[in-house]
Amino acid sequence: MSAETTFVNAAGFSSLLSLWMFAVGSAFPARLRGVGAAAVHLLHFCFVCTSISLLVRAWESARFPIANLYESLLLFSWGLLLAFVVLFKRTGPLYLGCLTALCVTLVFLYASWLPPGLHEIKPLMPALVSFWRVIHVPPLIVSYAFFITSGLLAILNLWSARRRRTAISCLMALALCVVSIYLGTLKLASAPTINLLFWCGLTVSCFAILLLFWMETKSKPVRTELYEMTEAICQKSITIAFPLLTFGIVTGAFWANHAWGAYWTWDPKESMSLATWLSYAAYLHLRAREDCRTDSLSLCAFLGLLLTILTYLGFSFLGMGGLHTYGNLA
Amino acid sequence: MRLLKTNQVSSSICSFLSSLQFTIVLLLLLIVLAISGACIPQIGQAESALTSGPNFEQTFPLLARLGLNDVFNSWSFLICVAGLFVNLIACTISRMSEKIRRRLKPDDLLDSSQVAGLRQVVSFDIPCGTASVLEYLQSNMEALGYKVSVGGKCAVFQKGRAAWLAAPLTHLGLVILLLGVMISLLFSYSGNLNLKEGDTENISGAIEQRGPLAHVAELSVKLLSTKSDSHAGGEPKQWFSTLSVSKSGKQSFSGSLCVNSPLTFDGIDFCQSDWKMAAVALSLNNRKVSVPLADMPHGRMGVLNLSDDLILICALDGGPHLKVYLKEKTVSRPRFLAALAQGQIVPNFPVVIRYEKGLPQSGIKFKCDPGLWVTYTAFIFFFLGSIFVAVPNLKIWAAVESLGDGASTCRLGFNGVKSAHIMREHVRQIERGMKRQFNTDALERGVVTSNER
Repeated sequence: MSAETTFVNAAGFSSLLSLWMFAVGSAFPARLRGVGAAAVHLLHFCFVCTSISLLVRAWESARFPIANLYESLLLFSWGLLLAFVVLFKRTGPLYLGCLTALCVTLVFLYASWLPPGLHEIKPLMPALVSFWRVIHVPPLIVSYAFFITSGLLAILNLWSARRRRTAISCLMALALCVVSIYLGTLKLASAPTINLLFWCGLTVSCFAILLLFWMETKSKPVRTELYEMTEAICQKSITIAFPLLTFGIVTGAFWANHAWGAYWTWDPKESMSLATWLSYAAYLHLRAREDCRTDSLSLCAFLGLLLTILTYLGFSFLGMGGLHTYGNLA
Repeated sequence: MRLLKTNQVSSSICSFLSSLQFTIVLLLLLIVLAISGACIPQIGQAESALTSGPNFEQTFPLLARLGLNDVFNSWSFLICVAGLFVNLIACTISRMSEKIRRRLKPDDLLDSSQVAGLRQVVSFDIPCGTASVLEYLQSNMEALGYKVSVGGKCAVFQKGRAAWLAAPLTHLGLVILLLGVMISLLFSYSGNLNLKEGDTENISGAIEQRGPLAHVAELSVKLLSTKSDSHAGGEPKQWFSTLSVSKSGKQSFSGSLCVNSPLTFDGIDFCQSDWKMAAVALSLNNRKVSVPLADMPHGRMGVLNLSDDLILICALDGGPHLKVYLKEKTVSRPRFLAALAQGQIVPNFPVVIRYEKGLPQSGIKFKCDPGLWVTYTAFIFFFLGSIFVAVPNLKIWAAVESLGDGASTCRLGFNGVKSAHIMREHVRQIERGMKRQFNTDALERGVVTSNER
């Protein structure tokens, strides 16, 4: 087993273990306070292991380790752990750590499902041989990690604001995404079936979310400690991620002009990243309104979460084409 | 009366056009259009996506009729972009001018009843005079990095005033971007050259996109040489081309380019966009022939009729060797003959077939875009604007009222959602500090009221 695989496995197992410890610690917060603290330390250990595995892969491949979906997933899990380290500095409720541990575990699981060829270190194709790869890709992947964190916190925020039915329908939409990714990655269904399932399901879910939200917003949100905390961390997360996404898109345009002679070609990935950027621009515009409600902001952050998933992984499980196909499963 | 009505209508139209609701609706429409543009295969895209295949119009006639196979050139998209531009201008005139005026005028102070109406308010009763409370607030808020303005029994504390630059910078970026795109649409041109070694082509004959006011330079491009570097496993590593560019018939410039390293001459960028082996040169019994190659799943392949019922198949799969097969019309599977390096002959075959060399073809994209630097400037504005989004904009108002008998009520309040958690934390810090400072049980716990709807 290579050194990189050892560190990736250590990171995967520590994230899984910390997930269990967070779950147990959250169930008995008074009695098992030490378990929660240990889970936080374990997640920090996972962050260190992921960082080392990226460094080892960089050293072994003699290049920055971003060339295919597997490598980008490693960086993505590193970004999720970075979000945990940056955003949850002070000891917050254990379920916040639980969210990160769950996401990181799922990402490692997803990475392990990928075809073995993607795990191997492969040489770069001519289009990727550029310093722009190091400048353009990492900010985007890290911004996706922060956006996903903020989207999950937004669901928690809706739950804590007593928008329970909206929060549940958001979770169902998210589950639909996860199922579609699972089916698409393992090729358990044909591309048209997955597309049909995903788009029909998502359209129905979005209508249900809006309808339930409209019904629930007749009452004032209940301000609890969790509500204020999730609101604060969600905002902070988007505030960090938005400049990173902008930087990633802008540097992508510079690179595209350098490599393809056109800074914008309405490639599917470009169009989706624009949709994601616009959704967070809508979030910021909504936030600028002095009479804006936090639950509306959370809904917007959740919309951003769906678009982020679609931008990042949609090309793998929905089989979209375009110039960014090096991120695909093939 | 009619004039009054007309004024009311025009002012309500203006306020709608400059409203944030209008912005959000336009952004949502653009999101929907961008998603459909990403998921539905678009005309002229490099690779078709999803289920439709090449006959999109036959497969989904309704979607094609709605213009969803060319979303980014459709009227719906262009109307949304135009709407956003109108919204931006209206917003800039009505809101930004107000914001700038507010920045320039002295800080606005709110009295106690106005503070009570803010989004979040904390009230305390303190057993000391208003002057001491204000003095305490001033020194502590200054310690937290706030700029303090006091007037009478009111005060306003501000921090991170640069955050207001986020919107103007991003909006200015959008205006510059639209300007850059307009310049590009009118004055730019681009195209592709597919050249074999020694070929010369005039760029005016290879233009694929040209703006109505574009002036195309009279340039001819000659491919002097081209080569492909491969990794150890045979995967392509880099493609190189050396060009000679002539202006008005005189050779003006020559240079090399590769992928991600374009060449610029006379405002025209030349990019290495593609490289392939176009044909292979063979000699058949000392007769030179060229076999054109076409794409196949794992490389390139070409066929040559040797006789009425014999076909020679040549295949290149990334490696240096040419694989040669013989196919008889009556037999379904072709027979492998040999893998030839350059100069080698197919052994034990009645016809002397020698692999002379591969004939590569270099794909060069050229582009002249006078609006490029304007667009790049817009991108920089976007990025700067997004950086200022991250700056917390903190503004807390305070008002102190005397209750008589040496006691007073202090109200601290703030508006907005952005950075509300930081302001909330600072207000709580002040509350805790006051309790310590005045060291009295008479201090009631701060009553937090939220005016959030």
